[in-house]
Amino acid sequence: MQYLYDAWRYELVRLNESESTWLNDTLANREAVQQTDSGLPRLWRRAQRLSLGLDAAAAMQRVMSTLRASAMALGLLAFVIGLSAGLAALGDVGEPVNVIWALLAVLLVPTLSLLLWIVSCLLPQAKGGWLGQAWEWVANRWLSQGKAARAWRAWSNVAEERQATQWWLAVVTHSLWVATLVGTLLALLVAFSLRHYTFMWQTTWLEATVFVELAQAISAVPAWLGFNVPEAQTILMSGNQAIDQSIVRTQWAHWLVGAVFAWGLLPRLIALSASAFFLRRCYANVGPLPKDAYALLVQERLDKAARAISVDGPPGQLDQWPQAVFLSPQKCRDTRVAVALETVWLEESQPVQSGAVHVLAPVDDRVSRQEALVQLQSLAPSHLLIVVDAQHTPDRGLLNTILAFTAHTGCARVYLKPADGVRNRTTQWQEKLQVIGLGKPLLDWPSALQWITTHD
Amino acid sequence: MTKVDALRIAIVGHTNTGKTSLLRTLTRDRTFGEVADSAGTTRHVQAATVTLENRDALIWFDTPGLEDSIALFDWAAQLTVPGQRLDGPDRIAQFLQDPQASQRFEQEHRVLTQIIQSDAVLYVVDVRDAVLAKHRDELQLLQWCAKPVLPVLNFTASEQAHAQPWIEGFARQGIHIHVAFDSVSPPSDGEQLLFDTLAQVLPQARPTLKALSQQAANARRERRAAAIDRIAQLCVRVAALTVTVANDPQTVTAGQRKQQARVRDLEHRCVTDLLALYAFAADDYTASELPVTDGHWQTDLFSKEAITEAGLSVGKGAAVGAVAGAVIDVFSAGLTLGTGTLLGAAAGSIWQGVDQWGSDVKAKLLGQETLRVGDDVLQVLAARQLRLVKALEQRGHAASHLVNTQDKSGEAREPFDQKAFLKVMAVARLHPGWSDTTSTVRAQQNAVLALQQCLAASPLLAA
Repeated sequence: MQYLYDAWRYELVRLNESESTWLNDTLANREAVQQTDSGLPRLWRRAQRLSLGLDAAAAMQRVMSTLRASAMALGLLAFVIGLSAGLAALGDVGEPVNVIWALLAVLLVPTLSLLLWIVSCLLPQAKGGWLGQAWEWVANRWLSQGKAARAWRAWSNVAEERQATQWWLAVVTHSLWVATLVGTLLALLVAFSLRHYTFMWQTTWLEATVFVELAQAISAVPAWLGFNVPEAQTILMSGNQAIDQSIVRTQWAHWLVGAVFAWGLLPRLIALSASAFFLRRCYANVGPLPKDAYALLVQERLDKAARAISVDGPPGQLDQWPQAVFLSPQKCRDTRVAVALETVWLEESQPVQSGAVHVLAPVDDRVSRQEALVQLQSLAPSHLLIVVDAQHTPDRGLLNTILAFTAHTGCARVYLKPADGVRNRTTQWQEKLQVIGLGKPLLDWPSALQWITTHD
Repeated sequence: MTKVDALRIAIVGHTNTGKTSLLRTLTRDRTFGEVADSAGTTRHVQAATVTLENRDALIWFDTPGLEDSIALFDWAAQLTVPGQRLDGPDRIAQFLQDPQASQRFEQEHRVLTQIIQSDAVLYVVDVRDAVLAKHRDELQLLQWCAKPVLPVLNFTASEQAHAQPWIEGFARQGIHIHVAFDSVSPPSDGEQLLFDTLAQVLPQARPTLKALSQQAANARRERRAAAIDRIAQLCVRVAALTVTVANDPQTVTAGQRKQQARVRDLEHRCVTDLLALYAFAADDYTASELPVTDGHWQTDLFSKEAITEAGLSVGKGAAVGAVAGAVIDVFSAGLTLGTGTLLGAAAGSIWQGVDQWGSDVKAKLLGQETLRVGDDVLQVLAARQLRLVKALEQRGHAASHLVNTQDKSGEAREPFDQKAFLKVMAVARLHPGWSDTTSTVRAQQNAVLALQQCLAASPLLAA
């Protein structure tokens, strides 16, 4: 039963989380990751930590005590039934006890049900016995509503998952039969202690040897266990007429008690221990790692807690941008220049090229930037039109280049080559250009053309 | 940040090429780092570990974007030391030692420091961008660090993607290996692909990378199995939903409404779980590609559109009626399936089934109506959840398109083996207890298992 509580707690937390929402598990995950290796124990550890907040211990306690109480109540009932069955089997005082009838009265039902149970164990979907089901039904009456309901469902789920339900029910079934048979034995012992019984067997047409053999066969095990059972001669003489001799009476009483013990109680005890053994085995191993959606999600949360995320230091400062500086008008010459930054700009540059505007080679790497700077230095244009693609992200490199270029001109504007869809970064460009003091970018070619050709 | 035996891989690239997005996808952690469409969103190096059998096997380093690599390249290229010929690593070492440089190129300094401490570099490019000469400079700078460089082509699934110029560009720089990994809609075996390609660049780390690749493949399989299990659970629960109402039109309609609401709720829960399973959230920007909003399908389950959308052919008039109203009783289920199947189902599992049949007869005699969810609804339910799984496996890609359910000959394909599916559904219908979210009766588990097999073989999930 080592892992019953671990598995139960996990299931309880699972029901909680899958029926409502995730519990606040940051601490639990961290603790589970620190204290256990990955796998089921880690899931259990997390559940254990989370169950504290759910008051799970109390609910589980309630389930266990209800299960125990209903088993005890049923046990008491079984004991009383056994007791009365024992007394009833002996019949009226004064009348001799028909040993075969008496034995049938007490052992027929338990033996048949035991045989049925054994047969049912060999079938698929074994149920574990009717009495066990009665117990489950009674417990369910008490537990299906209220605070412990979820804990109870979790308990049943785990039992089902571990294929333990059958053995739980079997253990209860056999325990109840043990209570019944103990009741019967007790009734026999009390009756034989306090009353005077004589014993016999009866027949109308069977031969006496049948009974001798039957009685001896039945008493073989009790005799081996030390019960003082009647000899063949005594058995033969007890037919149809009771012998009222102290020694014979004692021997028959021993025979009856021994038979109930050896053929009723003993097999039940063996079945009970076997069931208990199998039940324990159901909870004895950790079990396979669950692979359902819930388990994978929990695993992911644990992995996330386990994943060390570290940084190399505080984040770098946001870029500080200087204002664009321009050449003073005296230093400018009367030239107009256009340059494309990291973009192809062929078709539109044609009308500009034919006019009075000097178009530089597109700038898209170290060398071309260097060349453009040299040219701008010598041209010292009064107007500079910088063409950029609105698809590009305005990054430090581009802005630095723009700032380097404007330092060699009288005034400059940026023309944003239009872009559509998700990659349109016009707004970002507008913000950044505002920051460096270049004003609004030109957004359509006609106004850009007009600006570079005619602006004064 | 030092883990001696873990592989260290730096993820670098020009600004705004989706480095952090890539790492989010790789770690399946949507909260990792910061993602925005602007330059300089990531402003420090952030490490994320990948574990293998309880030990850290690999560390990804997300770095700030290289924004001004041209100026940096300029700076490093102009370096001279009297009497020495400087090679790449020398220049980088000089740069890293220079306090002025570390101030002016603060971000780049961090990136290069990280590269020097790493085993390899993933160079992320946005293939929607044009290849520019500056990228050559950037790559040259990386090559000066003398670490293996593996180009990662990001956004290859985009309509504006131009991967070929990039591949040619890399070839010109002597790099003939790359991996296409769209961080928004990666190939379903993307992680494996990445590890396998990395192993080619890092032969000494091949065993670790192979194990990581295997781990990623297993995780993928498990995720798919868990998703199918979740869908199977949903179908079984919905099929088991039973409402018995008095047989007058008004009460029946009210009962149907109530039942429909429960079905919608169960579906919503399933969709939420599936989204979570594939590390999606409703507010995820890639989620806009999915046919679900806030965990709800955009098309109502009980509409004809849902049927066509799920790639099912709209059935006969009676079936359409069942969709609209979600009324079905065990008798009509028996008729559509053939009594043999139903008897088999009843005999195969259940006393309760027969019992339930008895309850239905009793209800009929008492003038009551037993409402159950129709076959078509159940099929739509399964088909569209499978479709969602497929979409999620590719992180939204192609999810906005209708599923092509026709094979080459133009014949409509079934989204799954309908006969097998309906057989399990018929069994589930006989067990109202199974609609309980927590029932783990073995017979139910068997039904779920059978359904899992049926759904896992769905052509909707095929590559």
